[in-house]
Parts: sequence; C-alpha cells; structure tokens
Amino acid sequence: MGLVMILTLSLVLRLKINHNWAGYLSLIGILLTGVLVVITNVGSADGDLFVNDAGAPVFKILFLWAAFLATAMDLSFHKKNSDLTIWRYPLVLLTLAAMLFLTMSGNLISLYLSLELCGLPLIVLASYQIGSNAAGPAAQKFFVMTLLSSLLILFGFSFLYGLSGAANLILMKLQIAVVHITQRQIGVIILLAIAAILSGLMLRGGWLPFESWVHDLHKNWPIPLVAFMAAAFVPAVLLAFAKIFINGLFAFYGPEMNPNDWGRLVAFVAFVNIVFGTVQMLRQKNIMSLLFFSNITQSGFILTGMISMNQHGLKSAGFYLFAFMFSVMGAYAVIGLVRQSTAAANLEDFKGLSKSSLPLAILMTVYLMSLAGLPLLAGFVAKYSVIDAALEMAGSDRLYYWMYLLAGAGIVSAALMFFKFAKFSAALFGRTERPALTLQFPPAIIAVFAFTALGTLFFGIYPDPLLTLAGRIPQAFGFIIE
Amino acid sequence: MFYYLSLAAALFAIGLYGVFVRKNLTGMIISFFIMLNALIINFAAFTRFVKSDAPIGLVFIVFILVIFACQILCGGLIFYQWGAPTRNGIEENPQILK
Repeated sequence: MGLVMILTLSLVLRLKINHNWAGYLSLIGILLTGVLVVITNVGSADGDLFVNDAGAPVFKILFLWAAFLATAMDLSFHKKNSDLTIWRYPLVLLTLAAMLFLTMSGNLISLYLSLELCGLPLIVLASYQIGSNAAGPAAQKFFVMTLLSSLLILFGFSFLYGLSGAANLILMKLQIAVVHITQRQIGVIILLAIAAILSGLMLRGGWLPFESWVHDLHKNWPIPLVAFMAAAFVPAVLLAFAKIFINGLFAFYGPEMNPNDWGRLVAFVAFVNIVFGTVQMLRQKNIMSLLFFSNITQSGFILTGMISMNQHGLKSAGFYLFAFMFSVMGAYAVIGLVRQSTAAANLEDFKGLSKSSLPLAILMTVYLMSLAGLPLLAGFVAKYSVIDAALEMAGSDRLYYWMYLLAGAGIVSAALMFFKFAKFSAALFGRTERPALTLQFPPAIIAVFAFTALGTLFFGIYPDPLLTLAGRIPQAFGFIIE
Repeated sequence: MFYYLSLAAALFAIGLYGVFVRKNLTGMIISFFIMLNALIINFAAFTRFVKSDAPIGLVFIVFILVIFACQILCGGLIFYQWGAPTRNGIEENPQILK
C-alpha cells in the first residue's frame, strides 16, 4: 500500500505550495506509483475484498498513464495561480487512487466503494472548476446523474446479493448459477438486477441515451479534466462492467438463458452507442462535442470487444483502451494548446492551423486518424482486433448472429468517422484569412505530445508489446490462455 | 420476504418517478432518499432471510449510508458555489457567479 502513502503524503505536502509545485509533486507521485506497480506486479491472488489478479496491473498502468498525461497537460495550461485550481491535483489523485482500488476489487462491496470514490472527487471538481455561465446546471446534472446511477447500481447489487448470499464475485458467480439450476423462479429478479446495473453503468459512463447528463460538462470543463474523464473514468466504468457481468454473471451470457441473458442486451447498448454516436458525431460543429460523441462511439467498440466473450475479445478491448487513451489525450492536448491563445470552439476556428504551427496540425491529424482507425496507427490495430473478435464469436454458433450486426455497424461507423475526421484534418491545412496564432510550447506539453504521438505511432506499427500486456486481462476473467 | 421486497420495489419506483418528474434539485434529492430507503429495506431483508456466514448486507448498508452522505455533501458544494437551485438554474441569480 505504498501507493496510498505516496498519495496522502503528496496531498498533505501541497497544502501551502504554489500551483506548479503541486503539479510536479503529483507527477512524481504518479511516476513512483507506476514504478511500484511495475515492480510488485502480480501479488497475492487470494484476497476477498481486493484481489491483485493478472489483469489488475494492466488497468493500473492504463489509469496511471492517463492521470500522468492529464496532470502534465494541466500543468502546462495553467499560468494563473489560484486557490481553486490548486485543488485540482489532489482531487485527480484521489480519483486515481479509487480507480487503482477498482482494478483490484473482487467483491461487490469493494467494487461499489471504489466506483463511488471515483465519482466523488469528480462531483467536487464539477462544482468548482468551471468558469462559464452554463456551468451551474452542468454541475447539477452531473451530481444528479452520479447519485441516480449509484442508486440503480446498488439496487441491482442488492438482488445479486440476495440471490447468491455472497458478495464475493467468484462465489456469486457460482452460487447464482446453482440457484438458477435448482430453483427455476429467479427469472424476473435476475432480469431486474441486470437492467438496473446496466442502466446505472450507462448513466455513469454517459453513454447513449443518457449522454445529455455529461455533455454540458464536457463542453464547459477545463480540457485536462475532460481528457482525464474520457481516457480514465469511462474505462473505469467499463472495467466495473466487465467485473460485474463478464466475471460475476458469466452464466447468464448466452441466448440459451433467454429471457434472462445479458449478452444481447449489452450488444444492443453497444450497437446503439456505435450507430447513434456516429450519427450524432457527423452532425457536430463544436470540436468538444465532436470528440465527445466520438468517445461514445469508441466506448461502443470497447463494449463490443468485451462482450465477444472470448479471450481475443477481452485482449482487444484492453488494447483498444490503451490506443484510445493515447489518441484522445493527444487530441485534447492540441485543442487545449490552441485554446490558450484563442477562444476556438467550432470546427471552423481550427481551419488553417498549419499556418500557425505545422507540427501541431500534423499531430492533430495523426491523433484523429488513429481515432478513426487508419492503418499503421494504433487505432487501426485496436478496431481490427475488436471486430475480428466479434466475428469469431459470431461464427462460433448460429445463436450469436447478432454479433455480425455489431461487427457490421463497427465497420460502417469506422468508415464514417474516417470521412468526418479526414474532412476536418484537410481543413487544418487549408488556407485562412485569419492571422497566425502565437503558440507557446511549455516543456510539459511537449512531453505529452511526445508520449501520445509515440504511443499512437509505435503501437500502430509494432503492437506486440501492448498486445502481450493486454493478453493478461482474459486470464483475470477466467478465460484459458492457449 | 415477498412483502419486504414488494415494499422496497414500490418505494424504489416512487423515487425513480420522482427523480424524473421533479424539476428542482431539492425535490430530486428527496426522491433519492426514498430510493435509498428502498435499498436499505432490500439489503436488510436479504440479510435476514439469506443463509450466510456473515451479515454482508448490514456491512453494505453502513457503507451505502456513509457514501451517500458524502455524495450529498459534495452536492452541497454545488449549492454553495452556484446558489440555491431554481427551476431555471443559474439565470435567476447571476450575481453569485464569480
């Protein structure tokens, strides 16, 4: 638990120091925690509340990376030193700590606690860290959304506990299956539990059709926080989904459990997210909204990988999370840097960015193309492996015909996304009447660009190391490794 | 157990209805508390009737209450920062904005 010590220590230390030092301290804290995670690696796998299984370090590394990049981004964007902004770092660190606990939780209680503790600092951030007039309602919406989703998730948990008599996920997995075989009357209750938990998680992740609860926040929040939310908080919700459904309710996946199966329900959610996320994305004129709906579509892809329910699916979902994190962090960093010198909000405002800074325009193109899934970039490998896993599942049995639909929607969505992003990227290099911006590149933001661009390009050409790392995730969910 | 669960389900449904119907934050929070009651009844009933070695449901209740209190407290920050919630949100008291 050296991690907790470092986090608390850095929290206490930074009470009376200025903004920059607070940022550097939290960067050091995150780095030290990362080193500890890599050194200790897989620990004991026999806990009740917290299990440090094979998949936990992978997700820990993902969350630490995202927090590191977001903190570095925040550090470079902030010139003014105020009482409010200094609290951003401890709150992000607290969220990070809760996420690290979430990766290890193997029990309904610890899962609930860590999921809530992820959300709490974000409520505080939502209430304090917004400057514009639209912020009050946005913060209120986020607060209501968090509360409602936590109550829905708990309602489902209470039924799962009641059915199995256990809170441990593995025990629950076995005992619910036993109860289902011995007593045939648990149908309605398990369906209620599945629906409640799924809708709670959908609210929490801000997925369609609940996207309006977080959309305002995305438009009004400081960019590093938005990036952290997209690249770390939503994956945390996806991880909770995987823990509850893929691990805990494993027995209720297939169509033979009709109507109590969750496979088709979640497939429908993923389908809606991919299709309507893409449709909404094509209509957007605001850059933040564009990325917001792109993120929703990407969550649909990750869900597709997860519910493919074979080891390739979970592995590809893990890879997707990393590829997505690198690309989306970079894209937000570019937007944030441009916004330092101009109040650019619409897609039009970014036209002719190459005149101000050619490297920035090229970087933005790389990130967006990776998000759309162009070959030789990390996003392509991610999308390809997710769709491949879905097709593998679809081919395994005629009952899983709906996976074909999902894969088809994924391919069409990737093509449309490429169209939209290519148009925008071409505009970045277009001619404009506006004067060139004077952009400043602090060292921290150069580090962010270096890491994200390297991640996007390197893992696109040579994805093996990351695939090997992500290959440990299926093991944690009980899938046999060949 | 059927009666307990029915009561809890009814309370939860009332709370959920309230969240969607109410327009101001205070009414929503009251609805949240009704839902919270439903959850606690659920967990307590399951703890009583399910054969288990440890009263996990009661542990759950304690954690739920603590976390819920924290969440409401964080919600209070929003009140503090943005003024009392009204139907139109922030427009009615713009002087609060910094």
